[in-house]
Amino acid sequence: MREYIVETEALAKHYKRAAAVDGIDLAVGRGEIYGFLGLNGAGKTTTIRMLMGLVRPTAGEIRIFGEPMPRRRMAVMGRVGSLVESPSYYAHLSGYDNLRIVSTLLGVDEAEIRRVLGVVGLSPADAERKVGQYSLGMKQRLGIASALIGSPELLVLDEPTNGLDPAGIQEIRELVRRLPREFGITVLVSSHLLAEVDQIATSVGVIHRGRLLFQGPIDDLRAHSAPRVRVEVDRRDDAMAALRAAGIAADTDSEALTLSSVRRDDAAAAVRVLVSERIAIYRVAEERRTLEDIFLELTAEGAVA
Amino acid sequence: MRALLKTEYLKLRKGLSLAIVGAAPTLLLLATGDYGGGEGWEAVYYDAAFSYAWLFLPILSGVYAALVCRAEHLDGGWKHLLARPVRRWRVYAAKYVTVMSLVTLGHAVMFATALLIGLRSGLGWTSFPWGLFVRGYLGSLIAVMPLAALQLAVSMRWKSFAGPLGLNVTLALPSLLAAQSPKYGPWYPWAQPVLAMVPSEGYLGLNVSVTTLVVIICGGFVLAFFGGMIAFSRGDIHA
Repeated sequence: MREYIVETEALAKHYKRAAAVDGIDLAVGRGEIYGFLGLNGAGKTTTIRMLMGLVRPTAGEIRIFGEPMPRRRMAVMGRVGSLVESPSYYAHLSGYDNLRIVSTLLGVDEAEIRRVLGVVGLSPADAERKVGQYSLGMKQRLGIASALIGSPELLVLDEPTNGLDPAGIQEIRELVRRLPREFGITVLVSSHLLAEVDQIATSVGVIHRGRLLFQGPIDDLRAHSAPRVRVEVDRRDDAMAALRAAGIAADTDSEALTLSSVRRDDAAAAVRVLVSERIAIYRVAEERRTLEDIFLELTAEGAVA
Repeated sequence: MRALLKTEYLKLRKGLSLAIVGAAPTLLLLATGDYGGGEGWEAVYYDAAFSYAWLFLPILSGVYAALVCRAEHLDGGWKHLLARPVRRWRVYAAKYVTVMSLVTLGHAVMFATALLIGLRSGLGWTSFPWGLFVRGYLGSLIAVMPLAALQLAVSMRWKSFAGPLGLNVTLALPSLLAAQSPKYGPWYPWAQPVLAMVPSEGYLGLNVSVTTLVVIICGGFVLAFFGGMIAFSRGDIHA
């Protein structure tokens, strides 16, 4: 059996009016970068807050490193670093002093501060400045640095690239990718951007309206999210037969055909076949699927994990 | 707990705290005149201790309470702190100890200021009424404890900085009136420090009766301190 670093069972949080999280079973394996994907308000942050012991679950169970939470919180949280929602910091203190507070709380040596500053790429000069003067990207990096103090085995990052410019996003992405490789850290990273999760995660959980719609390897989600070429024609059945005879992979629904390949040659070949069969082509368009489309598709399939 | 106290010290805005601690004594040094004309140490006690205890002390304890929560209320500090391996009740206790340390520091400075005012007026050491001063200062320090606990409980819940302070000042202003009422005075938390300054036959050599000490001060402390602690330990952290 696989070793799970984070596991939840029917985890739920109900507020007066509605269920923010409605019975989800997470399973995050060791050494993974687990992308926790969902639109804003889907329940990502509430789930993460429950994992961290900040919010009390209404129902369900949480195990981190196999230990029941929040019962074993004190033992577990020393091995977890987190960045929940926006970065937290004490603006009136220097970056170094912010980290000193964390190292004092965790009872680790101050040498650790220089190490994590190096990992996130904050210079000693930056560390001496007050955090109030930092750019958002620097605050984000300081937040990750503070989460890395004490060499945690699990790092939980909630929307770590929110509000960053493209260069900052790229930097954080590369940093997150390095962590499991270099330090053996398991990373749980939430995002509302499909492309973001697609680029860094090894496995993924999709949450929608408090429910987990999908959970599994990133490649399985890619199958759902890959772009397709849609072709609208007059005689769909004849067109399908012609394509099949020509060895071109295609699919059909009530409105149009879809080609699995988005390569230009393949599209041209398909059009050639259809024209030679005198099938009228109304439209050929690439269809990029948004997160909403995937949610709709997953919901329609009833693929509730 | 020691680590938590150390982090509270690291987080404290030292300059601002010292300015707040030093403000009242400075005002007093400037405002008071000469006590050399036969008025003696008692007059120094009443002028220096009373004005401090009836207004400054209950307001300042509230300012300190707001100050130690300020760093967490800004920029998501609560989740940052509480997602660490810390117990919430210890966080709460560390904050309270920090508040009371600042109150005690302010008290010590006030005591020294009163001495300074007396010595400046040419009053001698030999006539210094230790009993009067020690009873008053020690008593008011104990009497402010339940109030400080109440103020901390409110400050931890209330994200606004000005809110708890405004409320606190509003409630502190009538403390002298309340203190003069034999009926309501003993029950009004903001009046406790000044009441403990008024020399009277009390319990354990303090200026308060055994009923006041046990029921109001100890009882009030237990209620406010543990009430605030339990509320903080159980609540969800969304900030």
